Amino acid sequence: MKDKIDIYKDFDGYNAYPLVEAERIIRGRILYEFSKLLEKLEGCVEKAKRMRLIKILEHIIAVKSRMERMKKQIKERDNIFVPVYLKARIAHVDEEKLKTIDFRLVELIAMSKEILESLSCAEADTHIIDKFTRINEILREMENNCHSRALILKKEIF
Amino acid sequence: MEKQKISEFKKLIKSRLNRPMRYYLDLCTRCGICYDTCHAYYGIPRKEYSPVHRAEVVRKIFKRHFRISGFLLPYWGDSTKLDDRVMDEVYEAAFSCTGCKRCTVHCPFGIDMPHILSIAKLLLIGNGTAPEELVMLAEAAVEKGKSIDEFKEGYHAVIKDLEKKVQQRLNLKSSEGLIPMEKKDADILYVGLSGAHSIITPAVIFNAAKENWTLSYFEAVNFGAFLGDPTKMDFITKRIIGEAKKLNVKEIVIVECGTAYRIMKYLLGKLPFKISSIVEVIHRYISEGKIKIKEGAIKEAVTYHDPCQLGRNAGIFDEPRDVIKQLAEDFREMSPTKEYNWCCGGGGGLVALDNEDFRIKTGKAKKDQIVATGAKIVVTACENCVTQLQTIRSGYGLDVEVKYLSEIVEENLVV
Repeated sequence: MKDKIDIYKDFDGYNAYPLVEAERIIRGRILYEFSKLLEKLEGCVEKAKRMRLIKILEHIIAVKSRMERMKKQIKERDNIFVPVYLKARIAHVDEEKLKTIDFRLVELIAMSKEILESLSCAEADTHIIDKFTRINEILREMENNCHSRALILKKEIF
Repeated sequence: MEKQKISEFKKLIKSRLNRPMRYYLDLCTRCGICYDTCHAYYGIPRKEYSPVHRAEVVRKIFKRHFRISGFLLPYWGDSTKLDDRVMDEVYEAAFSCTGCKRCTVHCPFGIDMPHILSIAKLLLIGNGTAPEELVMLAEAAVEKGKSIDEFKEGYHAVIKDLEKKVQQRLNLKSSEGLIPMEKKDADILYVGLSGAHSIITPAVIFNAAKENWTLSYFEAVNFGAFLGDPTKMDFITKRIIGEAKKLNVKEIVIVECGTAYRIMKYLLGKLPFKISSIVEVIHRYISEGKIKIKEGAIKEAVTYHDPCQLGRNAGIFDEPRDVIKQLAEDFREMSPTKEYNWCCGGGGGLVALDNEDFRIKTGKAKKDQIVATGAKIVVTACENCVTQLQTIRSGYGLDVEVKYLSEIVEENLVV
């Protein structure tokens, strides 16, 4: 996988900061990468729209709507499940779990990006359905990972 | 809700109140047989996903505004007024139904639920709450119809590239004219979809059969129908009719797209040319010996999913089975099958929406059917079904391949 992104760069772990702050930093970085992916897809939408490729546009739009919803959910999670007044440290085992999930999320974003780059979003594309099914599979895994991430944080807090 | 808006909605409902619609709205005895016929209810057993509930949402609005009892005594008349909460229910009813009509074939009175839901879709358009995705896609298709000349040049360049792929597949010396366009007096006008798969595969088959054909500039898919907008639906189909008349073709052949085929074949009245599905054409070519396929070439177990709009609602059952039985050594029928086959859950434009979780759950009936056959390859003849079957495969982790009928024919063509 090209250009491996290190979202833990200059980040010393969840226990090095108040938990709410640490969570916000990492979520912000994930959101940034996810937004770049969405921008790439928007380019694809524009291209298919310009060329009026209706059926290709259908596949792209379905993924785009899903990604926009996911972006909104990631963005709006702020201060909902990590109240600041609660304790500021988490168990080492949970920190490790969060790290694994965080890296997996970025890896999944990179995988989606790679699939999108392999698409011209034009008539010449073959196996469009397979590729968008794969992107949807990745997005599903991302949703599950985001859910697990929230559960780990909740478990520590509640 | 404002009086003026309600009055506009009443006009919209009235525009759909023909004789069959009044019959469907009046006749339901709420026997509940349709509960167990709906794939959505099978996957998510909530009354909101039963056909009768969906129809009741519309029926209650109808009674309130078109029946004195419903207007004067809403409680006793079982009616409801139009408001935002009801409009949410209307949305849920309209876009949780794929329009497969499995409930219709089981209903003792033959009540056409999707027909009733056409009122719901019209109300959503009037309210401005129809799914944005479908609105955008329908508008893009209409735009394409209005400004086709702007796209022709770019499209020709793409087709040139695709012709080279057809040439490679058929081992020909030249790629010239392998995908003809704007060919006057052609026997066939083939209407595909965007995406090379829907053009290359049929092009290989047409060329192998030495057919006098031409490719349409338009796509067969009709988002006007999925959206429930009769004006847009009409415009989208008439682009193709206009092109066929201009080129003076004898037959329009529709890509593997159930809805497009059903609309062209059965909803447009008498046309000066024949309307066929690519499935029928492939069957015809094989029967007439125009193309030869490798008999028994597929050793793995194969099953066939009847697309609802092609099978139950358009009667194409035997042709695809005949073709598969020649190609595959081990063909396994799903149970129930043909007109009683379960819908996969991808029709009605649902695959264009952000609802994968819903589609995986409501695809459970189809998943169970596929698993019961033990087949390794699921063949179908509709792009929406392929998309949904892929979602079911990935969602339930099934070890099956999903293929188009044309794809397995092209792969096993003797050239």
